[in-house]
Amino acid sequence: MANSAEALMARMATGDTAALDEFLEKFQGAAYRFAYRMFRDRHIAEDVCQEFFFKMFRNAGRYEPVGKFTTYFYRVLNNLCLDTLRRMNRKSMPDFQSFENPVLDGMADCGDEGAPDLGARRTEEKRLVREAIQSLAPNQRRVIVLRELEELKYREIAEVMSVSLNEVKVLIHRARKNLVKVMRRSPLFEGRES
Amino acid sequence: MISDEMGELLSAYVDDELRTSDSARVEELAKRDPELRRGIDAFRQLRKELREWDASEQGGDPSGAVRRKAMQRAEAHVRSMKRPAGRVLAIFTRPAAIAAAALVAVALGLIAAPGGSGADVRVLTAGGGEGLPITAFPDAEAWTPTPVSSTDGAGIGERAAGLDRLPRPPFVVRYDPNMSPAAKKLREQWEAEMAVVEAHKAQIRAQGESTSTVRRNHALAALIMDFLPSGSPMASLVTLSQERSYELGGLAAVRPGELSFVDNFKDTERVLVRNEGDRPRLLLMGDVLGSSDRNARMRLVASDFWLEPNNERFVPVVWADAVTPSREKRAPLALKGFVPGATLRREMSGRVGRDDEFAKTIVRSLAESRGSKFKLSRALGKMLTALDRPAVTGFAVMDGDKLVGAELFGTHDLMREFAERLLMGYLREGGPKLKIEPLSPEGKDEALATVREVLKSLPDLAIRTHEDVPEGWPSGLRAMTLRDASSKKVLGHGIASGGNLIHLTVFP
Repeated sequence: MANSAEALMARMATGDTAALDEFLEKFQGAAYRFAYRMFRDRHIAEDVCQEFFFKMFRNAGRYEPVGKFTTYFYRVLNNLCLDTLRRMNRKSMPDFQSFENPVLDGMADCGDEGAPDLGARRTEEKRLVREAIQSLAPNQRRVIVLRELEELKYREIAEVMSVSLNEVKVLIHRARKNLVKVMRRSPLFEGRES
Repeated sequence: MISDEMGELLSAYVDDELRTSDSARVEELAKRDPELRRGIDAFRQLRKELREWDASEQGGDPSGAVRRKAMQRAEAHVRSMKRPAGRVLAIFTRPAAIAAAALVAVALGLIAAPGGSGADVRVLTAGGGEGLPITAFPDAEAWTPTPVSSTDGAGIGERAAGLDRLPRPPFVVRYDPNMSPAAKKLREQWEAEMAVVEAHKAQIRAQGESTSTVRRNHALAALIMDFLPSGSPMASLVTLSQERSYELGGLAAVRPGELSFVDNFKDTERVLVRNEGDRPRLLLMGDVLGSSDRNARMRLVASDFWLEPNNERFVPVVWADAVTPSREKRAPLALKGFVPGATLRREMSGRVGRDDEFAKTIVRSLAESRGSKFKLSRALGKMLTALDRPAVTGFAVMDGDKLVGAELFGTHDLMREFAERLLMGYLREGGPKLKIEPLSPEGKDEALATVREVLKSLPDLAIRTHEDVPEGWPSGLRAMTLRDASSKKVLGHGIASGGNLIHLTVFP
């Protein structure tokens, strides 16, 4: 992947929009998934993504092919998400209600019409998981997304977030501890340990 | 009870991030200790829950909007790179915008005039100068962070591989490990005070209560976070925690001539700022300096100020207190954000001894819903896109046909550096209905041609360039104030180096 990505970056640096088209084809899914995982909002994720791809295109000339491309990719994307989070004023605000999406919750459970109890339970579980994640500090949330959902290695996460390896280790542990603590408060998750 | 240290080990074990010998040790321990086993199981179960939840909530394929918009912007960018110079700007089709352009163009003409007559006040004429290019600071063209071979500064701690490629924080306070006994005592005192504050906060959180002070502090923190300069090399400082900002520094508040801590920031008219970056830096009037994101004490940069690389200067500041702090704190400062609102910035230039009134205005400006913030954020994105064309070095902000303000910079990159927080200030004040018109030196001649018409409605406009710059200013730097000569109303301000514009704000 790295070679072809680097080649695409080199072509984009010359203003080749066809290269951007290929780049989009290749990375649009990953970028969208990451942004969606961070914000849980389709519109914001789309805004972040289109800004991200435009920035990659505009700044392609500055890209130096050192290290893994995926690390660079996530670092830029992560910074963009962080900027967006800051703009949305979320870091210091205690509530996250605007990120709840009852419409999506309902749509996701359409298939459970025959089992209303199960559907309601799943909806409630999803709400609890979302709340647990959103109760995390922003850096803990990002580290959990990068580790558990994007499945990056600790060293890659350290590079993406520009923190030390040790900080990654501590952040991941704290995030997990907090998540377990919050989720265990709910009877829905009691006794779920395998 | 699993200790944090053991928990981190278990967490790394679950992630397969331990050496083989350490993994074996964890497995051995887990066999003997059921609590450790449960801890590992809990982390694995958590992963399972998260992934199931993530899969169920995936947004699916993004609509074609991402691809379409990204391609449109890229194609527009490529077209703008190829566009020939000399294009007439659409801005001059609107009367108010013409006025803005004329003001800007006339100001440019004046400040670009060679030398200085020593007579501070000049009544405007249509005479022009040489225009925009900054030649005194060629580095200003390269306004992006550049890699450095190493980082320094006490207290930075362990660094990840590759971090040495990141830009060095531009403002670093001298952290003297051999600080004087008096300074050490102050530091200990400050740390003790902060411990009390932290304990109090923890108590509030534990009780699930909120006090008005906490809410207001949240609002202040919101203000600060809202106006962080996105993508700016300065952002690296802002992300430091309170304690680290103490260790790594930010800015040192001192009285002129003294290099010690001061008890009362309110009396401090200057703040010593050291630029340890390898590029010149610009502080804009309205930049917020604070000691922590929860600390009410704020200093606002009182006028645009230019800092040479590897140099320190006393920057003029004004003082504002957005909330009532429980006690005086002696903490060093860091760049915290940007004061919202064009009107507020304009008021700063004329205010003396009106701290309370000014502070109330800041707090009032925070009263907006989350929904409106989101709208502002979207409007901001559109505006920034309109400023992408490399020839654009400034913008006029319009409310319908009414000009709200205009900002002009020496270079495109400099403008891009500051556009986001300036625009957010305008948007916060005027709402998402505001529009912008890009300004460019290409339109200068046309602007000058309209000057006579504009002058009919502004007969007394004068620009004062402060030849008697305050002590400590960099050589060749000039502050500018645009003022109506009859009413004395301030219409703008800015900064220039010799005949070269660095930044100019116009509030017609």
